[in-house]
Amino acid sequence: MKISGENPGRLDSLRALVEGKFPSRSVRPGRRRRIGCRALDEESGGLRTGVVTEVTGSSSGAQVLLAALLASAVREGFHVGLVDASRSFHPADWPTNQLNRMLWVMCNDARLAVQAVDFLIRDGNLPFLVLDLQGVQEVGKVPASSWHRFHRLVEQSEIALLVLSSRPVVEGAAMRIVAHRAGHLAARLSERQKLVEQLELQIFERGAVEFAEPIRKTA
Amino acid sequence: MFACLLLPQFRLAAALRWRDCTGPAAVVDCVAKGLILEVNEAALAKNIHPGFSPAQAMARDMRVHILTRSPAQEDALHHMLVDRALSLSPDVEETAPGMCLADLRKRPKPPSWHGLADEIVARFSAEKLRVTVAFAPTPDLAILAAKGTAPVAVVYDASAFAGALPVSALELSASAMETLRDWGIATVGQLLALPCADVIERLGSEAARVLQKVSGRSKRPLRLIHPAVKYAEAFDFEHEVESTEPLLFLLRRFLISLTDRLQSAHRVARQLQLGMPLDDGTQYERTFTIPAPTSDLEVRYRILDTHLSTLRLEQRPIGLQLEIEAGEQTGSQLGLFETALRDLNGFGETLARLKAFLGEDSVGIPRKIDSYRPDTFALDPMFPVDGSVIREDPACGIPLRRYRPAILIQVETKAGIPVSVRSNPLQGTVVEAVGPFRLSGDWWDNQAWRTEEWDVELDSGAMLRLSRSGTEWKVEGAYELC
Repeated sequence: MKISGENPGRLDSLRALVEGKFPSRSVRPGRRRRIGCRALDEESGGLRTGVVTEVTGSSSGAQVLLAALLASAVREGFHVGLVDASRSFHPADWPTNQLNRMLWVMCNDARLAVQAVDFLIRDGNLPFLVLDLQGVQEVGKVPASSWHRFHRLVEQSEIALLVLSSRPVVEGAAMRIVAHRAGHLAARLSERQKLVEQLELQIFERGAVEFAEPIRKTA
Repeated sequence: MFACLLLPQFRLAAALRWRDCTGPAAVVDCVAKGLILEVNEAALAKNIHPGFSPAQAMARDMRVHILTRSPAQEDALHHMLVDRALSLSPDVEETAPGMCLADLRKRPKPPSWHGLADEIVARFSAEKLRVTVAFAPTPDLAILAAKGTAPVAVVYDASAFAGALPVSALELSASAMETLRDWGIATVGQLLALPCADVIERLGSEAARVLQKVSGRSKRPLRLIHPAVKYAEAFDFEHEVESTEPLLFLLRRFLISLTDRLQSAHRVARQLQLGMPLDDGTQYERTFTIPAPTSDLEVRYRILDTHLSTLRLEQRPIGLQLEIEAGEQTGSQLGLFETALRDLNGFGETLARLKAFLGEDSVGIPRKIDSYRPDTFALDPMFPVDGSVIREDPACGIPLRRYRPAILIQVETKAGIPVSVRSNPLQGTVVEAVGPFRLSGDWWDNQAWRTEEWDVELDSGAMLRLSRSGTEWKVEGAYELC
């Protein structure tokens, strides 16, 4: 069914009607929270809350983005939930003050991880949730209805849900970020903050143009 | 004034607690020949008396409910009685099981002693318990008054009260009672009218003790207790329990009673200890820490409900015990820019659900352990309280994604340096290798370990951490997946 672009006036009036009838169900425009990652903050204004954001591309880039988020959690005093579908998080590589801000949920497969995220979204205590599906083989088996349910749940809250995956899997993600490789072997000696600053991202946001082309790109 | 709180037929009251039993009931002691210890009024009406065997009792009435004595339930009930006595005065004596004395001389006089007694009786009645409350100028007179038939007794005039008592209330020996009967003495008043020295000469030291008790002149010191008040309830089932419904039903009733006691003492629950004796003689025990100590009944019930709804046991429970560790209400001031969890107990409940769903060791706050052994960490149950600034060297490099378990691979080496990796799905030529990083530990015991680690980059772009133990190579994790 094609709605977008057919008759914007009627669509707007339908939206207004639904919002009038069900004010509690009306969707608030998501805020944006800066996380200290230049590529994201300067180009897009930060991570959007109340939506599902998918991060694909390089796994090292996604890890550095997670590092930026945790550093921001320490600075601003909020907590992050990491639902780890492949039990791959390695606490030894993270500073203690960042670990103290993170709830780590280890799952054995994508199905359990999705259910764990469902619990945490409904709980509503953690403003940032990260679902790490990178390296998980059966990620395609997650039913599309799960993603739609997450969209509906997070848009009623101030939660930002980030899904890290090797390839695009989240149907209807409001924001997609393609992370570039964070560096080569020599980067093991670089300060992580520098890696965050040098991180390259391609950001796509759902809007009038539905992922037709990257609307922002940072070099 | 002294107060005496007495639970009549204490062992029967404890055994009947949490049961809806209205007909004749008796409690038996399985240790002492299985004879009936105490009976209720309905059983007395059926001519069933203490000392009967259960068979004799059932011959009188087949519907008589014969219960086994439960030390755990008696203990819980006695603690509740002590707690109630401590709410009257800090100076309390545990006179006997089911009986407490409280010294009220240091507390302000209430507007009405009867009013205070009625209040206590009402609180016990709310829990379907019968209590006798007596106030008297001496501890012994308070005990004598509590043993009377009225639920509330207030003794203002000691000599008038004692004078009206029958001598049978003094619990004298059979020979002394016979002598008094021969003398025509029926009441304590008549006994007190006799010359004291002559009575003692005739009846011995027993009479001296009794006369001192009823004279109202001597106030023996109480054997004061300083108990750590125990908020506990217990129940022994008559049969093994097959499902969680009866457990949850009882736990809710336990919590209602314990919450009332906690709120009276202005205390909050910090921990719940659940115990279940099982039919194979073992005991299931579990402790739940409440993230934000609270006196809210529903929070505590949901914690237990969440746990029991996912609990699977090989054995069946034959009893239920619940103990609450109480604490003081504490308030904490957040930092100006601190964003606390909105609902700490709700979050604790979500964590409990996740643990029930994924396993106890799968959810928590990661914590590094002071060890060189690779992949060692611990999980804490809750976010630490911010207080100290943790100073660490800035984090370096791309964080590793660890494979758990590590993947066994074939590695070709040249002069000890990896040059290619040949295993599915990880294979390729090594374009850069950094290492070896040799690690070992626990060499002082039989848990000694030794490994050699390499960080390599393959021509496919993958960046891996390899480890070698002897001739065995493994991929421990990846910095960049292929």
